[in-house]
Amino acid sequence: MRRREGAMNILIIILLFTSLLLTRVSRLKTAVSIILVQSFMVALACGIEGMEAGEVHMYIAAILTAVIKVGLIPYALLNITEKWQQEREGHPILNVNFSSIAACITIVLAYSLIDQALPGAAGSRDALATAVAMTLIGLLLIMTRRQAIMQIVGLITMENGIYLVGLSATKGLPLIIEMGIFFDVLVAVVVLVILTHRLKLSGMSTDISRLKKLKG
Amino acid sequence: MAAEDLYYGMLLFFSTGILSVFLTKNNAKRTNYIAHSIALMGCVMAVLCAIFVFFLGELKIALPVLLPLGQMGIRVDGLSAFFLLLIGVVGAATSIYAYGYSREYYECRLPLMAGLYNAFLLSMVLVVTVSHIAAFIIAWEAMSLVSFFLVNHEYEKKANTRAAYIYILMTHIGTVFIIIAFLLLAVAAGSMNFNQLKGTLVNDFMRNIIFLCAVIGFGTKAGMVPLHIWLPRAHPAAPSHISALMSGVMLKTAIYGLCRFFLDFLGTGPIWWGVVILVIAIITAVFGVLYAFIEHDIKRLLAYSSVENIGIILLGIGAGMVFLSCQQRTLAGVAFSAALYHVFNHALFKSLFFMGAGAVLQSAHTKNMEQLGGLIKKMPYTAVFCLIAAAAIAALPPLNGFVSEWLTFQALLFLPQALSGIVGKIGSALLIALLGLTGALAASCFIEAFGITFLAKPRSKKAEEAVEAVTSMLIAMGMVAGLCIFLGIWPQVMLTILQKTFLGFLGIDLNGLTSQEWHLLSFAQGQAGGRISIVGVVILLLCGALVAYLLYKSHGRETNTAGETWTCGIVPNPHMEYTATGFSKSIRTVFKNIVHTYSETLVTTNENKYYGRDLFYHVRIQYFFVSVVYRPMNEAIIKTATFMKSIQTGSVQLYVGYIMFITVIVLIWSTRW
Amino acid sequence: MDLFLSMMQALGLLIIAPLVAGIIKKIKARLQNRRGSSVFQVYFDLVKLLAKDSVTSPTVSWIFSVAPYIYFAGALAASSLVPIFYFSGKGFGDIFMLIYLLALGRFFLVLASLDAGSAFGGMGGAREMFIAVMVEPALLLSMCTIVFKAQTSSLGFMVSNVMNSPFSLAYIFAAIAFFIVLIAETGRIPVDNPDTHLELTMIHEGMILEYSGRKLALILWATAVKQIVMILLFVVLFLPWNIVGAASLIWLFIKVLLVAMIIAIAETSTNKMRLFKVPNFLAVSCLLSLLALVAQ
Repeated sequence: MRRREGAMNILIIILLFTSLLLTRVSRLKTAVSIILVQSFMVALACGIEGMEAGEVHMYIAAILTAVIKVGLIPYALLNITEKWQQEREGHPILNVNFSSIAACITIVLAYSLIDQALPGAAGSRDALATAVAMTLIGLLLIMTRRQAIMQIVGLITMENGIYLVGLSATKGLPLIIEMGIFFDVLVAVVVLVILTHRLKLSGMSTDISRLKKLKG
Repeated sequence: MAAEDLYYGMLLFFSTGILSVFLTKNNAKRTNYIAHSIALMGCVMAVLCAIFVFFLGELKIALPVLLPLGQMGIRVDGLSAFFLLLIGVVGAATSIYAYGYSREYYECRLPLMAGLYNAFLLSMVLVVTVSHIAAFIIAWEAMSLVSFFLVNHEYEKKANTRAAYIYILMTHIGTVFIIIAFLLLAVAAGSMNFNQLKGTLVNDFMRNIIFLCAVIGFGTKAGMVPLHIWLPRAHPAAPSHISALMSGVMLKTAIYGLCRFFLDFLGTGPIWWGVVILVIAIITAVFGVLYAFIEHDIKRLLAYSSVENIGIILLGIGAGMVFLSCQQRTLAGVAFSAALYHVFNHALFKSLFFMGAGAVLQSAHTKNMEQLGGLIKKMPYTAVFCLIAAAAIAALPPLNGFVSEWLTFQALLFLPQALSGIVGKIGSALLIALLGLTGALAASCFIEAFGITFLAKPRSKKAEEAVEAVTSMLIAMGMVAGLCIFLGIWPQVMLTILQKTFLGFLGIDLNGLTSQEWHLLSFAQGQAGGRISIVGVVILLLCGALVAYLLYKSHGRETNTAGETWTCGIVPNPHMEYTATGFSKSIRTVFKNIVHTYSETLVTTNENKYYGRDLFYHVRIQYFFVSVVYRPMNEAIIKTATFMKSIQTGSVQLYVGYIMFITVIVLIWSTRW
Repeated sequence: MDLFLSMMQALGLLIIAPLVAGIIKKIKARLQNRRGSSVFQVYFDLVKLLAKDSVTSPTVSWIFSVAPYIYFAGALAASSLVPIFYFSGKGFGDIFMLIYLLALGRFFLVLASLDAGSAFGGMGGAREMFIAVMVEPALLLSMCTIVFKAQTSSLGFMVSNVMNSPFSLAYIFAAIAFFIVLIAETGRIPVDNPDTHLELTMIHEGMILEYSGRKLALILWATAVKQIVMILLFVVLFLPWNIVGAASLIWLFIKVLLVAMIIAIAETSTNKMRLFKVPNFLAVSCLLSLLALVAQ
């Protein structure tokens, strides 16, 4: 039991670390590798919880997460980034330092919210706060990055955060709900990947801020 | 229970009609016959069901469909049965008419139109019979959507799409108000079933709000001024039998809604409710008929005339509400029976004239009266039926229009008893005078409509080549014309039906009107009352005609020589005939402050200036309500929208930023920081 | 029984109507210092026209042939509703029925005027409807005083109510208002000139320009009947003395003569108004009626 708690703590610290790191990278391949690690950690967390609770469906969810979010999606993203020459995020809206500061503020905000809302949850306080923080950091990433790939990365971060919330608030959400959330994001990512591919094929840049020119 | 079986049968028929269209999609002719025959059977069932309900009592069915907040039910009481009868009669006539008229649409998506026609009838039947709020709203929306598609049927013409767009916009604005009114009542009563909604459960302020919402909501659908702007655009755009149904029946479902609200749900209210409706009604009537008079497109003229008649119906309802507030039961009976009698009459004669206009459109291919003329020789039967319709609209005895107009006058006459004082007297006198004005204007309008279209010589090539309408169209028109005459000569039939309609409503007493000798129409109030005898007048008219004939024949046979019409000695040609614009010129001059018309005289000179000039006289109308009410409102809305546009910059990041901002705010707020 | 007596009344009025028209013409002539034609001249005109043949335009349809009958029947039916003797409420005369019966005749006559396809007919018909539109509210308003007081629109009850109520200012106003309407409805100067036959200056005559022979006789007779109906309405409603009893018939005739004289004097002393001043004229009538209502 204590070993599991310790393992969970380590996982949560790694997750927080990866999210902070994501705000500082500018190379697309690095970002995709970090998201790979993050998803793997989440899948591990789910597996550990499953061992603790002994439910089969958590194993299924863990394996699914591992397969898709650790395997398929990063593979597709890396594929796309390899085809392109451009491998860097150009100039984000908030530069790296300010993004990190914003991420820290978010983590503080998350901790205070959790303390305010659920004062009695001593055990999973860290997990919940990290999850909320990851969600908000994901949103921050989408907001401040211009490259499409970075936005997909932000989306996956958000989804990891939501997944983690579900995991730590309850002892495993029903499979249906997990599947629902999961497929939701899956479809979003697939669509984004396809569209990015088309954008690149038609010769336009994938700089999201250029889309403003389409406004009528 | 015979009525229940008939009701189910009717629903089944209409649904089969909709489905049959899918089966016969490829053969347009077969679709025409099958779909319209099924609709005809459905309408006959509706009529029979209504008659059974009148004589056997109320019909209540609880359907096994479970909607949220209650179980959906069908309740056909007297009021619903009356409107069911109306739908059935007019629907049957238009179904027979559609056999001949749909030939024009063989290449123009006829199966779609026939299917939508059945759906339209089905939705209207459901609107007047369901007794659950959610079901009512669903049926109402279905009716609006189906009629939108029907109005937009010939979407190749841009005017039709624009008309349909304005129609769907206005009808949805009305639906919003109806939903508000219903929901306020439902919240107070705690249930969505019509049986449990009673106005006594809400406080006075709420009742006034519900009243206003109901008036605005149903008034938009009925075509009350100033919410009528969709009517004159939508009715000409639809195919003619659909226009007949819309004008004759769909507007009346709004009247059904109003009656339900005022008689059933809200109960007796303060007097100012009735006064508000009276004022709106008379404005509607006068404006409607004025705009009708200056039109030269037949169908637009008929659409504006429908606005006028809705005004007359609302006069009856307003007077009835005033009497209800003063506990005058007999007078309330007279007023409401005037309103509902006019509902039925208007459905009959307006659909008759629309059918006639459709026949004219089909054979002469133009709706513009200035290009028609002389059709009475080419289409004799159509002309006779249109003449009966025109005479009925002008409220001439012995047709049905006169009876309902007389009843409305009687109701207005007794208003000073309820609205006491000088204001009441002057107000009622003005109402009577303005009603007389609209009657005379309606007569002029339809003299112009009938005269310019059918009489004298044809004014263009299209009119010269017109042919008589197909037999099925003539049979349908003949049926309705016969009903017009029948209801005019023998009003007791209708009054008996009306008595059964109002049996459940305690504030109204129709016993005085119906228990009389067969040839009289009278009621007693105080020492006096009112009394007319249509049969007596018919006999007098026939005697007068007999005397005239005897005088005519008194000096032996007459030789009739043909001599050309006197036009100061030159050979008359169609350009010398009076035009519709010319006929209405004098009225336009008198009312020019209300009807702002701009006339343009265009002069084009020939190359050779000795041969004279060509003159064109063209009149344009600036529609009062559009320019005073709607255009400023549109401009204000567009200005606000442009101002709000600055929120949307097109940058995805900014949108995500909005999301994040709101998420954080919600998180903080929900944890009650 | 009611019906039979009404028919007898109608036939009686039919016979008397041309006499009254002739009397008005004679008085006008005398006032203009002429000798004038005999009072029975209208009868002679009618008999002459009934014996003539007619010329009909080939443009017209059956409406043209039927319209005179309907106009005549409408006027006769209206005349049978006027309560000369039946004022106890037993009859079925109703003021709205009367107005709309006259409107029925007018409807078909205007249609017939459009039928011939000439500009004269159209103009005459358009002007006739223009005046009818103005006259209807004025007529109804002038009736309103009596109608509101009697709480009914049945002519019999109205007359008995008027008989029993004292003579008051309201009635004088209403009487003047009704007189103005009477002039407009019967087509007298200052609204319309019944004597000219020049198409551009007349309204009623312009409408019936195409008629000749027997049909014209019917229309002229019906116009005379309409005129006497309006005069009788005025007499019965606004000069309600000595209606009962055996001597009532003589009093009635004296009153009709009085009204005829007033009409003739009014016609001789003014001239015909411009068409677009007629609404102002009728507005005066409306205002007087409203004053009558207030004064009651």
